Amino acid sequence: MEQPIDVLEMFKQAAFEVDNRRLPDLKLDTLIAGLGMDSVAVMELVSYFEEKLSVRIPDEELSRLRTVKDLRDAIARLRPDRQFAA
Amino acid sequence: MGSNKQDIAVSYDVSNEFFRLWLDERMNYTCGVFDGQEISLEEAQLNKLRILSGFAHVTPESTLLDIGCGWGANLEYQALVNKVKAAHGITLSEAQCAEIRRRKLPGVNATVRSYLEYKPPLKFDAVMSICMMEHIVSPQEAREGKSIPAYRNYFRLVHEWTKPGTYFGLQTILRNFVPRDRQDVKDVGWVTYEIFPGGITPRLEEIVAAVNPYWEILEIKTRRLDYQKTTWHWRDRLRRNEAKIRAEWGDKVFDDYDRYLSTCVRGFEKHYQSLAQYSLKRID
Ligand SMILES: C[S@@+](CC[C@H](N)C(=O)[O-])C[C@H]1O[C@@H](n2cnc3c(N)ncnc32)[C@H](O)[C@@H]1O
Repeated sequence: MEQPIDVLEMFKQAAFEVDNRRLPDLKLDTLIAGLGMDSVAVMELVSYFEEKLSVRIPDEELSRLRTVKDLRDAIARLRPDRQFAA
Repeated sequence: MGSNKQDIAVSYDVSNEFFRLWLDERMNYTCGVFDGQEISLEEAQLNKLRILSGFAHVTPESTLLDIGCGWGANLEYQALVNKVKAAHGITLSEAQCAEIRRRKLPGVNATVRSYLEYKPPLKFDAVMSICMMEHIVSPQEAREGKSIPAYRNYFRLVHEWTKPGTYFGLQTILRNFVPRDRQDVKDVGWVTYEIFPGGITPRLEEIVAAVNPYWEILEIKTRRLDYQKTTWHWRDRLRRNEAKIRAEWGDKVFDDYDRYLSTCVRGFEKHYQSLAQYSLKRID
């Protein structure tokens, strides 16, 4: 069995790699727009997930991503073969 | 809604002489049709106008409307090649309208007017609109989900201005996906906000949804690589005129247009954007 995907941990790692940000208090219901990252960094963060998980989130879903949970759910829909950490 | 008159002046009123240096000689500022052949930009633009005239079923009897007519390349083609009875054009740019009037084309009438305020002097029986819909909604309005209602309103107005049996030859750039690469995101965003303020390119599914209940789609042809080639030719001509442009319009104009056209060449190559031509028939 592969390890469940922990989107929260991956998000913290991505924010550090693309924007040099530490987000110790990140929760699933944290608003992405409230993190103070510019839109370029947010797209890079999305592409971090896409590369690691071999998915491509469609544009119309991208514009609906508000929270970290929205991102997790969008990825989960594209990877029904994988388990996701709560 | 979308680009206003000041926005349009930013995009099209740099100077007619400036655009004449790097567009084709008739000044089409939209995708030509190369179809993979080694032909000139001038020939590619004529191909485009021939194809879209076919999509609009233009004949010498036509009374045609060109919405977003630019510097009049299509109006000129309709007057001199198709020899239509009358051709009306609307544009939001004063400089473009001045150029059309300067050409003194038989049967051609051009006005500076937004499609939102246009009151046609008569009903048309052929319509063309070549890459004008990119100005209908702003990025903000698109994010708020206002695109389809705004495009539908446009199709409703054109329906109102036309006679039963009218065909509509339409061309639009298409937005496909947001780049993920940092530099590409920046460049595409910069072109959207700085070169074409107030507008954003439509998505294919938005157009398909918005034509109803006014127009039936008969044909859609996408031409991503034709636009890549067109923008490559524009940049090539721009660069050949670099010294003159820097001297007359300054370094910023040259550098901005080089960056913008380079972004287009790359954007069509990577399929962030594409282009579509449509033949629509009025639902009577
Ligand atoms: C990219 S240019 C294309 C010009 C021309 N069709 C061509 O092929 O070269 C877009 C045109 O749409 C016009 N336009 C933008 N917004 C408009 C509006 N609200 N009403 C009428 N024309 C508009 C601009 O003034 C410009 O002429």
